[in-house]
Amino acid sequence: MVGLALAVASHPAAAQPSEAAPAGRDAAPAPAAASRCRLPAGLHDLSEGDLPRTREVLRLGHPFVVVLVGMGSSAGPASEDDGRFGALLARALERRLAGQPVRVVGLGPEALTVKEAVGRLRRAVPDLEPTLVIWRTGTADALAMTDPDRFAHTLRRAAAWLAAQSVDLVLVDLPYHAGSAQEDNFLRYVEALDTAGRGGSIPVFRRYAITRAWATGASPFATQPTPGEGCLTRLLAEAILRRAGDGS
Amino acid sequence: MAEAATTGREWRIDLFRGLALAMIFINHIPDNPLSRFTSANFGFSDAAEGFVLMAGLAAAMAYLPRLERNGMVRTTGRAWRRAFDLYVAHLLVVLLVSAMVGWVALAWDDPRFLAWINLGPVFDETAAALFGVVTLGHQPGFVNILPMYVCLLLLLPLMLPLAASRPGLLLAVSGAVWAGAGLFGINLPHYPNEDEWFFNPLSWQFLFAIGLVAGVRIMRGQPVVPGWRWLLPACLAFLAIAAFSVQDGLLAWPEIPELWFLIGLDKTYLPPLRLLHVLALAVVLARLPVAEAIAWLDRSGVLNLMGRYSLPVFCAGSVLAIAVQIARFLLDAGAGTEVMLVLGGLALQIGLARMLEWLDRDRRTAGAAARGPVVAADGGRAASGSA
Repeated sequence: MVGLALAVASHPAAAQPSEAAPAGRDAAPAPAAASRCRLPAGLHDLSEGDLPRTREVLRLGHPFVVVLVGMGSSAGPASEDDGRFGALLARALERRLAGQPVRVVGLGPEALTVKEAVGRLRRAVPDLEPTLVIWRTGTADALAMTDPDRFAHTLRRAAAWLAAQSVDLVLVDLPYHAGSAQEDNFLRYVEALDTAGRGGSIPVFRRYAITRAWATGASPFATQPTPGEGCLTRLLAEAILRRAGDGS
Repeated sequence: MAEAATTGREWRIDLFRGLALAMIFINHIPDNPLSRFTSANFGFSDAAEGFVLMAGLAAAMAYLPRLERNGMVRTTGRAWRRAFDLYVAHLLVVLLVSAMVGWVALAWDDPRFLAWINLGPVFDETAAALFGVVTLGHQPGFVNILPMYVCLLLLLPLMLPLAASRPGLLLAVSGAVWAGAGLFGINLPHYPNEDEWFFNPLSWQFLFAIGLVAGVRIMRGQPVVPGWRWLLPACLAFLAIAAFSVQDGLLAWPEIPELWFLIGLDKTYLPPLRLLHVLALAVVLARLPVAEAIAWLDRSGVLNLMGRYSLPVFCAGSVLAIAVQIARFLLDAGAGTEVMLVLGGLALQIGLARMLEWLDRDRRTAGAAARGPVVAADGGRAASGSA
């Protein structure tokens, strides 16, 4: 299908303004950066929910196809050492799955509302037959102030539809930004996404809580500059593989 | 309305275009209290389908006399000039909403705002995004109808002569392109995002072609809707079933994923259910005195006025919808404030149309005094922005 291709960058400038270094540098972190890429124990793992298809594919050594939704744009082809989310994730997975074919496909730009994203998903799933969909969402819906209940309902419905196609789903919520007067607006969609995750047993990677822990001065994990997308990507890849490995 | 009739325009097209513009504006502010009342909630298609169908009708009415009077070359030039006007209007809208969003992100010191309506690449990857914007490869969310319409006007010199001479052939070819695009997922690409056009021109051109054929028949005084007795009840039944089944949202998630085009409601590819729905709606609106009823309710002729100035009203509405989105977010607006903001946006669009009408009246009068009524009539038509 036209419009689908290996993808994607995250949106580092928007999500992590303090990440001044090019994202590529984050992909091969200096020791100082690596030491910053750490988390409170409770945030290391995905929230509750299983990844049965991923576990099966990893166990059998079949090709592991990951579709990324809402992970941003890519100007030109993603090179091996740039910081784009798709390239980073593919590398992080390949490192841990020696020899197993990994394909990461980006779908749609960042900042899609769930309503916009589901169209892309419905079209892409029959074509790509992915093992796992990683869906970063919430920012666009928060800004467009779509109905949070409808937002959560659509996510649950999408998860049920994907499960019926034997496709796993991991949700990634939106980033935190310190000092916003509108934080309550954003928080509403973090909570709605969390509700959808609990209601539908969808594993959630808690980016909001993680970036808040990094940015909040009182947290023992607060660090300046805050770690960037490369760190989040590694943590996400590890969390997915841990969940698919131990089934917890 | 009497004035519209004297200018030779089909007043009902202007009325429904005005209504579609108002609904598109309301729909572009997601889940606001007024959006519950737009047509999108009561059927498979929404105001965008109605707008494109009427764009086809209006294009036939505006360009067929030119084609017959001035020939192919000049008509092509006029259609492409109009396409260029739309292209420029689209670029201005993108520039304005980008500037608005950029300023809000700076003033409120929150980089998350830069992701508004998919503008991220404009700020993040400016070089690539600028190239994408001018080549119509980067289309921000909610600001993606005009690029499709530019394509339709570029195709007009090919489609209109066929609509006039071989309508069956036009519909067959156009329908085949529509079906091929839907069945095989063929669309134009985005740049720099890995994505595709939200309004796929290869799909939506079919609805425009149907509008063109209908418009040619209207111009020639031929019946547009077949006279079959069962047609109106069948259309009404289909609309009722659609209104009922769309509430559940089940069709949005086809159980057989491979058949998303045939049984789904994916707006990008204008699937059969959406197409049939807008055509059934058009039959009902043509057969029943709905336009007369709306005109009776809208005695001041506001909808008709908006429809006559559809391009400037649409562009203003596109920018205002994002402004209202931003305002309600920053204000954390409750339902009452939201309604006031939406109505305020509509009032500004009506005010714009009134001002343009006033300016045109002035120009028409001056033109009539200076050059005589023939030139004045043409000036009035050109200014009214048909198609």
